[in-house]
Amino acid sequence: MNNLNKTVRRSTQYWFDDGLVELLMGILFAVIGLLFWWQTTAVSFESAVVGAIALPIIIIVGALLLGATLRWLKQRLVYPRTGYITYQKPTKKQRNLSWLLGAFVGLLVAVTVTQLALTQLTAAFIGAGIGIGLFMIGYRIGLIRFHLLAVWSVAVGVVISFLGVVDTLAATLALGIIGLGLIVSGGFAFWRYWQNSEPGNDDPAEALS
Amino acid sequence: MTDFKQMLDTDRLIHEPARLIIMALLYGVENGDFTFLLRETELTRGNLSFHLSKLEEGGYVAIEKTYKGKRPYTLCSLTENGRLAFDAYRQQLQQTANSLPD
Repeated sequence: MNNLNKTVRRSTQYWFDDGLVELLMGILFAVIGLLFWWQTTAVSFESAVVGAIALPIIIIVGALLLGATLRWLKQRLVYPRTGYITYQKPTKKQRNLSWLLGAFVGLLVAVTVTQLALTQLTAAFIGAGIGIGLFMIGYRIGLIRFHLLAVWSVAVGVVISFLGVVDTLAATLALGIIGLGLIVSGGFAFWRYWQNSEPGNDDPAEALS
Repeated sequence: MTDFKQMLDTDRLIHEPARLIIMALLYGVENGDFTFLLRETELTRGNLSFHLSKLEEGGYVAIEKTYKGKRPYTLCSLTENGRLAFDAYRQQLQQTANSLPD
């Protein structure tokens, strides 16, 4: 029975086998971290305002771009080697629920940090937020490296907060270092995937003719 | 006696190990191509083709031949009947496993 459940879960794991998800997520975090750093070092008020306005736009565009890049890379690098799959699309209700939950958690964290003057814990909150996300992915698909990344993420946040780094510099460091961890993990997973798979050179359609 | 009857009622189309693996893999996705199934099941092309045809005949799997750019490929998915049959099989297997002595 366990083996049967594992086989069902295997299809979900397949999406994460090649490490591209982590790799791109890591790059996105690192870029957002750099934007925070730019805000920190902005010399004029105007550039700081521009940075503050641009940041959410870049985050949203970056997330959309990440999805498109991921699909593009998978089509060129992964599907010809190990096959193509599509997942069942979430229902409208599930999608709305995810958006609501995400917005609620984001708002809750933002209000908590600003209203309770917890800026010294900015990095810890970022690390915990990303860590929870990674842990949930790991739990759902059963890949241990996501649990390790969750631990890494929380640890980075806690250490930065413990060192007394605050505000945007804390966000820069937290996102940058967590992103770096994701890039290393994704890069290694991709290297292993590449080593263990060969490009398909035959015509799969023939098999069922 | 009921347990034996239940075991005799097992869906033999799914019960065959290779077909069970194919059904389980397709259960987690909307559809998957031949290459994916070939790699994950570790069956030979002929074997996979045979079992897919059996499942298609039984109405559990839908097979669509299509093109991705210039490359032809075969997309497989579980039908509604296939999903229901797999759910029922899984439930039956669980009940049978539970009824066995430790």
